[in-house]
Amino acid sequence: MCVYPFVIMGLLLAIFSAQVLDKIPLGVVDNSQGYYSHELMRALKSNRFLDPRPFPTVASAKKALEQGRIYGVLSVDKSYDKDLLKHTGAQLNAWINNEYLLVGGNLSKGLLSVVGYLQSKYQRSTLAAMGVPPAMLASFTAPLQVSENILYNPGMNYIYFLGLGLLPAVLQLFVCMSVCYALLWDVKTRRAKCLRFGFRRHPYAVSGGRIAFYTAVYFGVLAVWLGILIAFFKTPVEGSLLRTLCGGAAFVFLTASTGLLIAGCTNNLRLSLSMCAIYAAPAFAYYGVSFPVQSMPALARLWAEVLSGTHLNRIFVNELLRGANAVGTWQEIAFMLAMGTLFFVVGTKGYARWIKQDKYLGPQL
Amino acid sequence: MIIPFILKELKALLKDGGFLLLAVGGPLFYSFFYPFPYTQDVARKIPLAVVDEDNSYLSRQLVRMMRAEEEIEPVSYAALPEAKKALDRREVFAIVRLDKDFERNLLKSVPQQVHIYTDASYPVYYKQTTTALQRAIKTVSAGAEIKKLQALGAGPAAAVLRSPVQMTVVNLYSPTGSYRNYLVPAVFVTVAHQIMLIVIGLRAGTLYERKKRYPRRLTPLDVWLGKTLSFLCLMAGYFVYLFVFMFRLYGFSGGENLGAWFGFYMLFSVATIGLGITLSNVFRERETPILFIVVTSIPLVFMSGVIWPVWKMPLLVQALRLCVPSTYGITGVVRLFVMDGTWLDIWPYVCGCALLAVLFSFTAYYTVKKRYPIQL
Repeated sequence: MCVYPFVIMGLLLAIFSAQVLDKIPLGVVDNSQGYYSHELMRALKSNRFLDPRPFPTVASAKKALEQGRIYGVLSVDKSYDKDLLKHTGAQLNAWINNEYLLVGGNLSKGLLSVVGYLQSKYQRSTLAAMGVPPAMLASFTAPLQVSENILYNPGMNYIYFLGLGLLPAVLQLFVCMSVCYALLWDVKTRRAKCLRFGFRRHPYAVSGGRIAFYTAVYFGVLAVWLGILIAFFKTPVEGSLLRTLCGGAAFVFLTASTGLLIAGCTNNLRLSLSMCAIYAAPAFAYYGVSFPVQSMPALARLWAEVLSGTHLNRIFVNELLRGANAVGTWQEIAFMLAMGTLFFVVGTKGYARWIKQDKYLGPQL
Repeated sequence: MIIPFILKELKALLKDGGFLLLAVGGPLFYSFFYPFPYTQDVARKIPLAVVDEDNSYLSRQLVRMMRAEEEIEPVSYAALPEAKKALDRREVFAIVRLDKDFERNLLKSVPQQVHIYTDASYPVYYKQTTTALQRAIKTVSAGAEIKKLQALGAGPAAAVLRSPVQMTVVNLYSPTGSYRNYLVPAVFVTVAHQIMLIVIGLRAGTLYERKKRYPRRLTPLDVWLGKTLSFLCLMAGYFVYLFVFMFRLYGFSGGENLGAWFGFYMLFSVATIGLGITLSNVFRERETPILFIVVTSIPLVFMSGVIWPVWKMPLLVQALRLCVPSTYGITGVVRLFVMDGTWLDIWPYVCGCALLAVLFSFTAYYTVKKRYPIQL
């Protein structure tokens, strides 16, 4: 129960331990072999996103693309140098494997920045030759410039946002399934019979005691992983760590209460675990990490709000990466606590029903 | 001897409500539920704040250009602090600020900067907003550049002078950059893989709980073969549903190379079933496989190399992923089915999958033999 989440989360973080997606293999077919094409090759090599590899023909490069050895092909026209010298427009052709969206996106970005840099350079030299004074060159080549300030994750470190998205996803699965399993295993094996007396007198105290143990254990797991993300993967803490931990506690409580609710509704261990899998396994797709919540259909947006992980992910991003105002974080925590309390009350009522009568308990194993 | 055993096994599976819920309900549910958030395919209409301090003809023209971009939805704000508050509240995901002297500087030939502040805490938002903003700004800039070059006497050559190097970019396999096309085929393979492992474990756990025994006339080889073939029938059913029916329904790109993918899928299925039977030796209760296998789904998808490239993973993870059938299945669906490749293009994966199929078949046979005559 404690070791398994560490194994799964450790494996996930190990996958993304490179953190930044750079040096993407790109096949370059230089049909021109002139001064300018060599300059292009040098510019490609100096770009952080690209790792250019020469290929003799487009066919051989495309073969390598299909085999997955490279993610894009750049073909330099035979008349590239000639066209540049004659000012007739030199041609480059690029094929990018967009099936791997993340890699393809960064490859496109790298290529466009290299071509943009060269374009500006050649344009400036042509204009200078036409007699434009150096002070005026910028107004010809880029009258409108972009000054980009990348906020919150300027190095585009993937572990910041993936780690903070995957931690709630993994824990949501574990907490929900563990609580369901523990509660209904007792019913299946008739061990829950000994809770009957307590449930008749203080149902909420007894069920609260049952889930408190899991809440405490998984909160500990969450805190340790958060510590690992901050200490080893240098995830920034721009806001309050205390509020983040409060959010974590509210998340574990809501998820455990959801497990109690599922157990209280089903009284069937197998069915309840299947329902937990339905609730938590595809949850990552709904958090807004892999795809914006705003662009999802209305029903999916509603489902995203029901998932405890969506709220914890928002708190993580708010407090750790953005250092945004505390109001948003407290709203998320209040929402999780309110939902958690509702699920706890309804779940306890349902679960008490299975315990109070012998006919609902399983055979003695 | 084997065919009646297979029929008996299939009949027993179909009579088990828990099995039906998982084996039939699982793929049905996940095939709709997983792709559901990606219905729009690409992220559109991401709100961003525009602080137009100039409010001139040219600045308004730029805002109009931004409005024409499908990825973003500009919302006007009076001042930067107000826009920053909206960014904090997640009402917008980027800010564009146009200086007070925007138009005057452009007309006076003073290079003018457009300040953009992008939220990179979610790379999806970042990528879409920057792409759209750069496109809109460059379009306006290009118009101004060409006008100036023509005034300099460049004439019709102004366009070439402005872009001495032209690049044609062809996005292969997923031209629109569809998220559904990117993630869902891999998820389908993971669903088939995980559900198969769970149902094999569920069956073994059920039989263990009931302490059933095989008839003496069946040898361990018969049992192993019969079980493998009956579960293979189920995997073939998943193939038809997920990769023939649902693939066409969602209109994913590729999907022409059905024969090659089916052949590879069967190899992947044998490896998966072998792994499932081997693992089922561990499960003593019906429910434990659900608990243990479901949580591995997330790392399996990420380990496959579809989302994060393999060469960026540590060597240990690179080695570990080669021991799991889903890695081969996901590579197969992407390279053979979506990218329309051939077996020759992925021959190392074909060899790896075949090796795994042989290895896990052997361990599965050994597991059956070890448990024999108690049913598995």
